[in-house]
Amino acid sequence: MIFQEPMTSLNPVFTVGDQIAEAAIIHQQLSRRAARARAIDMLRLVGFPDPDERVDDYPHQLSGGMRQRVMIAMALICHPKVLIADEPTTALDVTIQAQILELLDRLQQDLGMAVLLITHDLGVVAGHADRVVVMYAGRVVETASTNALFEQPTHPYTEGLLAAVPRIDARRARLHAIPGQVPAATAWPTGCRFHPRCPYAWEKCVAEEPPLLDAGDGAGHTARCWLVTEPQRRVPKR
Amino acid sequence: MTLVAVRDLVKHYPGERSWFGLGAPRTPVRAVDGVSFTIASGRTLGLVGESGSGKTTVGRTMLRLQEPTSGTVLFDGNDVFALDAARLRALRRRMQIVFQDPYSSLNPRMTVDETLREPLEIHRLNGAVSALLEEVGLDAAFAKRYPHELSGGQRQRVGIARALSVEPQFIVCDEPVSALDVSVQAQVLNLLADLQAKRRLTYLFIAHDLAVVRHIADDVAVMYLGKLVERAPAAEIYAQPRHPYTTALLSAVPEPNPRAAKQRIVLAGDMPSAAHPPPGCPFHPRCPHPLKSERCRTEVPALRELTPGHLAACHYAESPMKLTDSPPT
Repeated sequence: MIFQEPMTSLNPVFTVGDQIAEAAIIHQQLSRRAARARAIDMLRLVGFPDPDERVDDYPHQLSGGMRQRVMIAMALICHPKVLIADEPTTALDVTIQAQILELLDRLQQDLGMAVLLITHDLGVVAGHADRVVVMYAGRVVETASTNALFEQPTHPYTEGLLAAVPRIDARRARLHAIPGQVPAATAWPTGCRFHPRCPYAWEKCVAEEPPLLDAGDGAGHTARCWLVTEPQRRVPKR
Repeated sequence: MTLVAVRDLVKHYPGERSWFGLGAPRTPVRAVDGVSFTIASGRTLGLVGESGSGKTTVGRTMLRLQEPTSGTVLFDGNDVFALDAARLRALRRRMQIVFQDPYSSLNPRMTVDETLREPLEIHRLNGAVSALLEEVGLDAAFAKRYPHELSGGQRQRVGIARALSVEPQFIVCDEPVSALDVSVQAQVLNLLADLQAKRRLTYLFIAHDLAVVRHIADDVAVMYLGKLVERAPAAEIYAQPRHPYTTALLSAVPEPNPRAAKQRIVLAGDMPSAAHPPPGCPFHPRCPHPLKSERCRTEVPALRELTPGHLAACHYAESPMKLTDSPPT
């Protein structure tokens, strides 16, 4: 697992080498010496400069990008089959984000692991995911291959989200905004949880929550929306 | 007509003393190191840079929320740094700021009504809180609420209403949407655009997100390590960046299009510390430009005009880097 905030997810009073080696000592019963050597190898793998010396650095001596590399090294030392990356680049500047995402792509290829990339950034999704699951208010509302999701968003929430993103490749006169905000987790709306913000909602959406329905591209594209059964209603009210 | 002119603005923070304030002072941090630009009335300048580039310091120093080390800021012909307290207060009515973090920039113990009434009282103005709330798209019933009862987007609307309450001409928007979700971010950006059109406002829009800036700015200035490295009309800087840092920054923005086979320049390393900027061009240690030479390591490039309105601080700005120049990664 890689956490969102590299500043707070490392222990400030241990060296990065100790923190990376800890998992190998516990799970693989390596000796301290062997675990330290493995930690240095891991730092090299994640592109850390001078790993032999900087293995003894403390987290406060490192930049945000370098701390995130330490987090990745920690997560990978026992060779996991699945890596969960929770907003791994949200706290980082865009040039550092590019470094970390490139590193994750390379490691995934070299080590052959599956990656669950949790993010709010649709640009990161477009560049790095094979399949996408869109969540809203505690529910999966759409799943699809990345290309299908961006070309044929089916759930109105996905559609709105894609239209709301400012694009660097073209200036739009006005951004599409989804009215309102995500409801509180203690008071979900009845029926479809998106209906109060949905431009297409009708009585059925208020009364009954849709299941994940097959959107019919044959590649496992599903959406939790009654529009799949009644596509003629995809006419915005405003 | 020029409303705001910044000339050679410098802000150095004294270095902290080691040993809990008892040791020798350290090298000063050169947060802003000679920045100049102008903003015409009714226009938006986007000020872009990564964390630590000094962009927020520029915004805060312009309003004299912090004293500058040197340089001048002219606001409608008035030298902001030369004013006495009374005249500065009068001028502050005409220039306001919207802060980055809507969670920490509102007083948690004041209702929305109190927050919006305070600037009106300070400046002895008549204004209706309900009208302000309506203008930023909030129901008048919000006046009785406390900040913790509001969402991030609602708080930012209150922050905007507070800035608007004294009817300013110029607003520094310091990363006003970075803390917001995409769908709410779009609402606030649209609101800022509507208010600008309606009230003929002038904005300095500080952001790290180049896509957001493209959406709102007429002109864009890019900062790196306390200096401006490029400045141009928005359409031009996105189509034809002249500084290799701008090129790299643009290429690093993830695009929400899975089929865009994008050429990416991945810069090596981090931004150096502003306490120890490298000699010569501040960008040279990370620069991927194929023409990079000894000159870049020794001579600081001046910000010079290449075509009318387009300035860049690179020795090789005449032959700007192309994306294909970057080594394959």
